[in-house]
Amino acid sequence: MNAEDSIHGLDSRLTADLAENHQERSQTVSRFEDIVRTYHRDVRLFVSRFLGNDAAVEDVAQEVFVQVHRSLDQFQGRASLKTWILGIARHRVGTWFRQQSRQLRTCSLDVEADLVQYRWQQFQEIETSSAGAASATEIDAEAELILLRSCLQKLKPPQRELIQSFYFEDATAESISRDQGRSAGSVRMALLRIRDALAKCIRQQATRRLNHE
Amino acid sequence: MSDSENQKSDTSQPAFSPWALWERYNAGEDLSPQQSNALRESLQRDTEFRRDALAERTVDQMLRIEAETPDESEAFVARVLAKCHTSTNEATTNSNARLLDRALLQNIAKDRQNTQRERTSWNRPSSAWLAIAAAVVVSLTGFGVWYQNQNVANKFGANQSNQSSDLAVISEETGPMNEASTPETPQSKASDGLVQNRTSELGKVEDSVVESQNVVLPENSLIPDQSSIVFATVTETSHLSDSTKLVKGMTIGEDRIEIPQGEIVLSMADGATVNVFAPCRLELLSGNSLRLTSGELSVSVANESTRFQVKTPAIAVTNSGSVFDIVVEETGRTEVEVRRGEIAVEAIDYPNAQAWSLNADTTSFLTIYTPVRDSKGGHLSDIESIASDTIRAPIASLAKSLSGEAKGVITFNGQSRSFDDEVVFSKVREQVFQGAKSPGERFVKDWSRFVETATNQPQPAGSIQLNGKEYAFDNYNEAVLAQNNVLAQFAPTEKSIDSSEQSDDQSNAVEATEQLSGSFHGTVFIRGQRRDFRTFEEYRAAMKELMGPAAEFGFFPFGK
Repeated sequence: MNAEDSIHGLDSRLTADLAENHQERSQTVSRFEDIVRTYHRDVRLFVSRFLGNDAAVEDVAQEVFVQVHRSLDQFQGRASLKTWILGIARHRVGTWFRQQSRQLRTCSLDVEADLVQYRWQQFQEIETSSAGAASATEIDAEAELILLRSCLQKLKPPQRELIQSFYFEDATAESISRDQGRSAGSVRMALLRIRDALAKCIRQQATRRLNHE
Repeated sequence: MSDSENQKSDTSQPAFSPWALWERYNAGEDLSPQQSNALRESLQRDTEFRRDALAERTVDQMLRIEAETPDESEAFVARVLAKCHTSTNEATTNSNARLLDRALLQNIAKDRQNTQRERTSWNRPSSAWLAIAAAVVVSLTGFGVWYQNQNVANKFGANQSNQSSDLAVISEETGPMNEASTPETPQSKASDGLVQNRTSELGKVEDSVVESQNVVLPENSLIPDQSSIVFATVTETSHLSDSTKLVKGMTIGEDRIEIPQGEIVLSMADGATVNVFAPCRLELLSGNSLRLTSGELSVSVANESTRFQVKTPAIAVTNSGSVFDIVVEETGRTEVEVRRGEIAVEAIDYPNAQAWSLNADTTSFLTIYTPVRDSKGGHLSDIESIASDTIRAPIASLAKSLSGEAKGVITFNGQSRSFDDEVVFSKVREQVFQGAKSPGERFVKDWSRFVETATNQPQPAGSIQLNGKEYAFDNYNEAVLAQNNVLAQFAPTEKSIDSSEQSDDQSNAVEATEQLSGSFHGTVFIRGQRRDFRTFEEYRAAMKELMGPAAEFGFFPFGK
């Protein structure tokens, strides 16, 4: 059994447990830690898709689980637990945008305020696209990363090494710049170009696969 | 190649290259006002750059999550558990939270290794659900809406049964709010005698407000009432325009407030805190009630024994010990979101309209649709002028549960029908609001028969076979969605359901279908009866015949 199967299995098991043990909340709730551990990655990926900001993703993801914690006894087991949790995540993202929009409205001459508006537009377009939100909710976070992994493999060795160092070995742009004898700014710019290339690669692969469907 | 692409490789102008500015902005460097403006302009003007820049940030997030170590994952889990623990202590009355608290104490020291995910590798094999991932990823990059629409249609039939019912928790039995439920006169710092006087004043105030709801607001953004009755105190102001005569510490009585810009915080006499966000127009009715004509408020009532009411042209929201936001748009749309506790929402002047009880932990979001109001925020432009004593204007409300399940109710001429699907709700709402602009006798009768089919007729089980494909359904909602799929084959650009463009899209879908009727052939089976069709007209006739009155709403655009 690979990791994906085991996670899908865990989702089914947790969903079934919550549905069957609806009257035994203590048992159900005692699984909360498992629930957080199982779904935090899915939630953070889902949230990051719309927010694109480290601190905000962390905050909103935490709020999602606080809400899950509060509402666990409302879960009926009609959909999978993951679908239910991601539904809550979608709701929290919408709330976050509304709150941010309010707070940033008073200082609208700001890049951050503009970005919130642009991202909110993006979110609303999906929300209002014939229940597109529902399908967005049902995605698998691991599936989402597969295209990224595939695109990472297509990078040239120096680019892959840079990604490896920065993201997977926790090197900073400054430390890399010292090693490579270049400025930190140029390292950050190189990383930006690689991420841009990865985004385009992901888009191309997704389009190609859709055309083959 | 876009402007930004050219500039991305142009290192001679790093200070003003959008990508260079973008990189510096995301690195947390201070940009000069000129640079900041240049970046904002690029983001606004160059849509390709904006799309790529946002996608780049998303990839950054994906990489961070992909690279996360088990320890970092555990740290996140621990932060969540700690936050829940705090939350539990703050809400000790929540039984679930109490149980969780106990569970946390038992489990937090438990071995955390068993369910820890293995860190994934880049070489992981792909699987059958890769296509789903594609849908998600392209949604980040601008193709999402198109893709979602392609797939949504395919999901409807299969997933309809899943869209049931965490919404069962919604109370539909909240009775109409009568005088007894109206918040009482505020208890202020004033003497008992003054409170009594205010009580008698309040009745007049309420009456006069109801009568004068269409009054044009004066240029002056605040008409201060410096009488001895204090309904609220301005405790914070931020970024107000010079014309707004509101200052921190000012007390306000029976006043109308208009804020074209900025934000204020009102501390109401009865203890509620109201954040008012511009542009906004409201009237204070008492120390624990106000009327919001347009704009946005956030209301926080800390004390459960304190009741607070917000009235809008369409609804009254009553709460105690809760936190909620409310937005009234000039378009006739009102949004209410409860963030803590529970609130009751009731329509004003719409007989038999749905009343809702919203709970922050279950169903927390409600959208109300009423006919468009004119720019003064009072008059119903089209429908009220036509609606007579015997034909009442429509109102629609859509509640969403935390997990995204929807329940909508449309009331027209005092008769209501509920919907378990947002798309179907939106289609019918659009049709009803269109038809209600000139409600002929037949339209009113059609609606009445349509409402009655929900209780008097068995659900229309059957299928539509079109050009070799079969779309099955077991009830009215699924039948509408099945037709949605049929039309989507002929109008793939259809995109917006919950917007003003919806009717146009739907019309386009029908028109496209009519133009392509040469290739439009199939069979309709409903309740054991079969009709073949070779044109769209024949299809429509078959649906109307076999569906009966249920086919009058949700299936075909108004007037078609």
